[in-house]
Amino acid sequence: MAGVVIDVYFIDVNVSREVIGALAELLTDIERARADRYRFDDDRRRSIVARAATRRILSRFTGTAARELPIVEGEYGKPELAGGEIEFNASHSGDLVALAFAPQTPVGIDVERRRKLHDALALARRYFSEAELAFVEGAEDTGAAFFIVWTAKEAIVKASGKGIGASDLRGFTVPFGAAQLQLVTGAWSVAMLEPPMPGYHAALAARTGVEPVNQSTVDASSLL
Amino acid sequence: MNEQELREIVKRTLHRIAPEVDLDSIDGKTDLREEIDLDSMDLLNFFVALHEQLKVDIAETDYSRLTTLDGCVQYLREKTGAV
Repeated sequence: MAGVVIDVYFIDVNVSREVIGALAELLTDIERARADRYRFDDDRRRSIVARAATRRILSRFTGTAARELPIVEGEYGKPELAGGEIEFNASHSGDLVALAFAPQTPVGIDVERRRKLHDALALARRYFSEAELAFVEGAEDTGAAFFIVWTAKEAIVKASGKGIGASDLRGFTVPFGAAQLQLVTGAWSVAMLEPPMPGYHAALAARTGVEPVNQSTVDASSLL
Repeated sequence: MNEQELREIVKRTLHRIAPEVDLDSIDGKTDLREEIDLDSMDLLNFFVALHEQLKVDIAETDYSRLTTLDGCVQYLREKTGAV
């Protein structure tokens, strides 16, 4: 996997209705129906921008028209491009969509808007390893520490293609806020990313041995 | 505790996680991830809060049963013995 470059994009979903409407044209009928099921405009907007941007960027990699790309679901429901030529992963929270793309190697990405949690320590006690829990409990800013660990764990779970329910979250410990990809288990590495907006946390996971990461911020209207 | 009381606890707990949602307008069979975009963290937050409220252990392998309001109530009925 030496020489593999992971492309990471952050996209602000705060764009006009006209842009959202035009981006929705890049979606399949099924994807548009799924987006329309959301009750709130914000959820719908995030869903449309994430999938339209995924299709547009995959189209640049493959040369296939965005709407024609065969995006299917893997065994545990992870969206993937049929054929596996390019692997990708998407996440959205608040006003941000985060996307990761890599040739023929799985990637996982998670972005979270920092928000008030019912009980971050209760969540950490249930789902974090002992070392991660100690990191959160000992941190001056418990919330920030929680989100640093959470995004790294979720990125790994997403890279593996398994859902939260099928993963042993307490069975591995992530590096705390490392900016470079660092080994977590025999198979996966994870790095913290710097989102382009304050109040957000993000992380990227990839197969161990995959290193270079290109991060950029994209204007949603440039995807049209 | 009867089923109606259990449903009210589930709704109240969910309201704390997603205060913007009018839970009375949500169909009990609707997948909460698809209609109000609850993500993994929101759901785990919800499950931990349910555990605290009802002292019910929710196994990771059961999470797929708790993604609708009706699914939550049914599952918690089984666990608490509510009628």
